Amino acid sequence: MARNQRRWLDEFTGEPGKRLLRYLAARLVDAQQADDLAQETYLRLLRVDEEAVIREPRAYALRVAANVAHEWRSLARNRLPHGSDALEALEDESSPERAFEQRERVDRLNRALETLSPNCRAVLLLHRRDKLTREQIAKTVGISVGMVKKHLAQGLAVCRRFQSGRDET
Amino acid sequence: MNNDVDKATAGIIEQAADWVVRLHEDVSLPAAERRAFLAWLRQSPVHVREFLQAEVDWLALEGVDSEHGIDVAALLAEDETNVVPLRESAPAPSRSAKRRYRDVAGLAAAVIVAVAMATHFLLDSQSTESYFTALGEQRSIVLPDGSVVELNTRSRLDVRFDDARRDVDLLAGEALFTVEKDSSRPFRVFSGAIEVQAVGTQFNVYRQTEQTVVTVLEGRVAVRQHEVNSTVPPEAVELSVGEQAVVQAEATLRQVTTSPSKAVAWRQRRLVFEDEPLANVAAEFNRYNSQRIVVEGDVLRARRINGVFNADRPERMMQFIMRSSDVELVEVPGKEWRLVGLPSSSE
Repeated sequence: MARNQRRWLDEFTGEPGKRLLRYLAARLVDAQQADDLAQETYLRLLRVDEEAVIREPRAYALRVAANVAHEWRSLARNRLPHGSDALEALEDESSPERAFEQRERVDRLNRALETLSPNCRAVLLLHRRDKLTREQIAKTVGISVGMVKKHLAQGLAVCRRFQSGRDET
Repeated sequence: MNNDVDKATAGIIEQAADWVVRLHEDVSLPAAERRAFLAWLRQSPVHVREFLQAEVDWLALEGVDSEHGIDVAALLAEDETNVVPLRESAPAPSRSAKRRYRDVAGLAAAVIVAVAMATHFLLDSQSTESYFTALGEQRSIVLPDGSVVELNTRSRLDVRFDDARRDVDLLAGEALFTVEKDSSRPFRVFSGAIEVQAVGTQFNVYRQTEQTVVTVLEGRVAVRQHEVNSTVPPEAVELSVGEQAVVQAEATLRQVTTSPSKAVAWRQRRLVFEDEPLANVAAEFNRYNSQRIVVEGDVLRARRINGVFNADRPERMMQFIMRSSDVELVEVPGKEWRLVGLPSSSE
């Protein structure tokens, strides 16, 4: 059990993790769907024992959300819900619609970036686009690592706010 | 739609972004922080939703500017020179610049070189921190020296600190400063050409389109109005508690007394009006709300208003206005309220 759990928690790092996140992304485009998914994930997170989650709370929460999304998709196809080891099925989800939604999201982020202060935008680009580590950025820009983190969090928050304003209209 | 919900959500969005950045650090978080994260997540479905969205965006950000059209070194230089407009668009590099960029073998390496050049170029200048608030948002910021800034709606602030000075640029909006004493480094706030200097004090600066209003709540400040082509340092006007300076470009500084609590009522999201024209009252509400109030007719625009209102409840103010029979209200939902003076109200 412990080893099994360890395995699927690892799936939220590296390439497999990215695939699962993209799967989740497709379920978060529609505002109503996103709310429903968050609601059910929230209820399940309340039910789990803290000690079971606490080693990898991020991976656990993402995993629960992916499970919920997957179960609903399966139900919609009039099949029995899958167990937690049926994630292979998610991986062939590279439909044209998903590629389109992904591009749309990136487009929105490109527009959101334009509203950031130059410094903040530069740090975010160096980290996400150019894959520099926080330490490398701190050294090259001449600011502290703490400041790099602040820029990253602020940049991400603005990107999110930019989109949530848009969703509601 | 509801303003209160929006503000709460804005806070959660910010916290979610903080968590995602922390969760993606190379070293795993200490147990206490992991517990704090889980507790945060378990607060509400909105927390869960914003966490998921932030995770997904964090990944999607890898795909932004895939053509590498944005020159990071230029961005950094732009910020350092401190002539940043409020909303600037991405610099459009020439085709050849783009091509040169692509021709470099390792892109990350190229960026490091570019940034190193930029930083070398600007080695002796200060580093700038920018803060801003969205429509209706208020936030407080603790500066590196322990001074606290409370930032009102739609404001932007650049902070430049070094060993010799503590300089703050109020580029837009309004801020309340509570300054820590540090006799070796003056604390100065610039609102365009207007400079406000303080030592261990509390004061409010409101940058409006036509003028800047400085109000002292504690201690003393010196206000200077710089002129563009003058080499002579401007004379300072000293203000003490309860005093207010209204400074306009090309005009002499006007000094008045005021109630300090009125000047900072915005912290409680209260708007206080004493004998204020309705046009100004509408403008104040419009700083906080996306649905705007438009007042039509010169007579109605000039009508004097007295009262205390909640900044988030423009409807209350509208009800107050509608008590007189010569005003008509037309609402364009989600867009604006139009207050129109009826013929009987004009002479």
